[in-house]
Amino acid sequence: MWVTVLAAAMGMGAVAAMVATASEAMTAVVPLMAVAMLLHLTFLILGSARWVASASLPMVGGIVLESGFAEESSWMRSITVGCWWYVTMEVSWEAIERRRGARNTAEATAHRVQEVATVVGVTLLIGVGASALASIAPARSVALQAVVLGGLLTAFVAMIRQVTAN
Amino acid sequence: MRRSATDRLIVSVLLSLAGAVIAVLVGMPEVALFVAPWLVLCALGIMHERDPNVQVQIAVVQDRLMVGDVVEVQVTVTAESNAVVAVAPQPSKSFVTSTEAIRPVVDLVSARRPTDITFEMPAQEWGTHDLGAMDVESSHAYGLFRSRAVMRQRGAIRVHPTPRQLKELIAPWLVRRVSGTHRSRESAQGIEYADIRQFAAGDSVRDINWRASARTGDLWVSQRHLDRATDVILLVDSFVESGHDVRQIFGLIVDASIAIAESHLAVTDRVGLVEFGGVVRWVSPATGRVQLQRLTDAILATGLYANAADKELPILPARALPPRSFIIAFTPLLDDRFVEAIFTARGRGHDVAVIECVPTDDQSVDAPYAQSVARSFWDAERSMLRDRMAEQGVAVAGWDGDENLDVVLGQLMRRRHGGRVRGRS
Repeated sequence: MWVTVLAAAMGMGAVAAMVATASEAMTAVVPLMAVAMLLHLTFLILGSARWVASASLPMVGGIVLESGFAEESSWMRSITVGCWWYVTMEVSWEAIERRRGARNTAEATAHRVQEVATVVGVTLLIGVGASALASIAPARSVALQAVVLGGLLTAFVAMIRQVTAN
Repeated sequence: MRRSATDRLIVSVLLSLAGAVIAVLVGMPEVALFVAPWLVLCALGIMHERDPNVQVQIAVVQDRLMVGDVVEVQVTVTAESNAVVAVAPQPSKSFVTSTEAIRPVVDLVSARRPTDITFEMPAQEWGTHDLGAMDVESSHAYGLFRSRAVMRQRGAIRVHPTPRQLKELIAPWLVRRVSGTHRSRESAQGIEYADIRQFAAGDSVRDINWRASARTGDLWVSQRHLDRATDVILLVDSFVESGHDVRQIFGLIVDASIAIAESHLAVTDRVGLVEFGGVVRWVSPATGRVQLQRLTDAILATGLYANAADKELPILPARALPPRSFIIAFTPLLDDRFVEAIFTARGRGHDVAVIECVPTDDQSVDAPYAQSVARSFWDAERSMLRDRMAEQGVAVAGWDGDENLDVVLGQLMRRRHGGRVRGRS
């Protein structure tokens, strides 16, 4: 039960962080975040592991709106909120899993925490690296963005090949 | 084991793709960075993807136990790489009714180091139970894939009813020519006093009844009953009669038959079993602890199958139903074929006693009039059947499970003393 409460609190925390760091002029973010919170809480309570992640779509929408409106784009804000939201999703999945009645040993829980921490750690490293590179670069050119996104797409193709090969 | 993608992989791929596409289309790297954790998760998961090849061994610590005891099922899990493994037992509903006992356990299995997971399941119902399947699900690195398999445990767990210590023992009318503890009607060298007669040449001096001799002035010797053993055949009714709580009735039959088998085996009688019902099976009479085990296993394995076929007792071989054996029938007296078998056995010269196993049926005060009348007819019909049996020298005593079985055996013995039994002792 306490894991569900923790997941709900983390979800509300992520939404609150998005709202608090959004520009005051961007009023559309607040209803989107309300939708995100509602979706998260609803599917968390209903226990749908697949649909609880649907709350991420309004979060992505909020990021798009905020990024388009803000004069100065903040990579670190996106990556921090992203990590927070990812941890929220993992805790939500764990909460749903535990409500099915499984008895988790301390070792299994520690292993999962370690995996989540590894993902967050690697993401933050990449984020800090990318942010540092962007600050060195004279301007965030379209060419740089194209290189980054091209790399992402290449990684996707490699991943899908790997999955289908397995 | 069958491998499949988890919800985590589907969500991660969809979110990552959506973030990347939006970032490219609107030219905002912030969106791609927001979904970066899922991208990293996918990358790490794919890099470390390897089937842990989980192997499971299931062992039951004790496969014979009493009702209320706890069965310990030990599951030893090994894997080629670290994996989080969820193990969920799926025993039959008749064996474990508590969901708490069969909650899945999620544990970390380290590479090439066996991990033991123990399930404690309370045995709530007597019988021979199948442990059922064991659902094993291993989560691969970062939880993007999982492998699942259902392992089946071979063998059975035998749950015996709670043992009853009986003080009474039904004395048979017919005995074997083997020493035992039952009193024979013949007068010879035994323990229990039978009669006195005048001393004759060849009589032992130890048999002289000095008190009678002193009173009469002649020599008198005491005669004693021979102590003999007997063959006891437990005739178990496994006919399924619709409209009755078969399991409850058969529970009484199992309970009583095992208790009586144990008490007769304790006094060196040979005890056998004939299961007469949907199927006909038997265990030839023998003595000893092993025979008790054999009988208990056979009784617990009794299958209750509906069968409309005519069955006759004469199909049984002589080794299953030896001549002069004492038959104790355990039956609710609901099936005519079984009642006919009792009469047949009696007609063949067997000494027969019946323990009527019928659970208490409290008739409601508010029952409709038609139901009360039907019930009265039913009771009268059963009473007539008991009388007909008594006329044939078959004593019947009812047991509802609440009463002490010793009291029922006492009633049965009193009724047998008034009965007529053919044959020599």
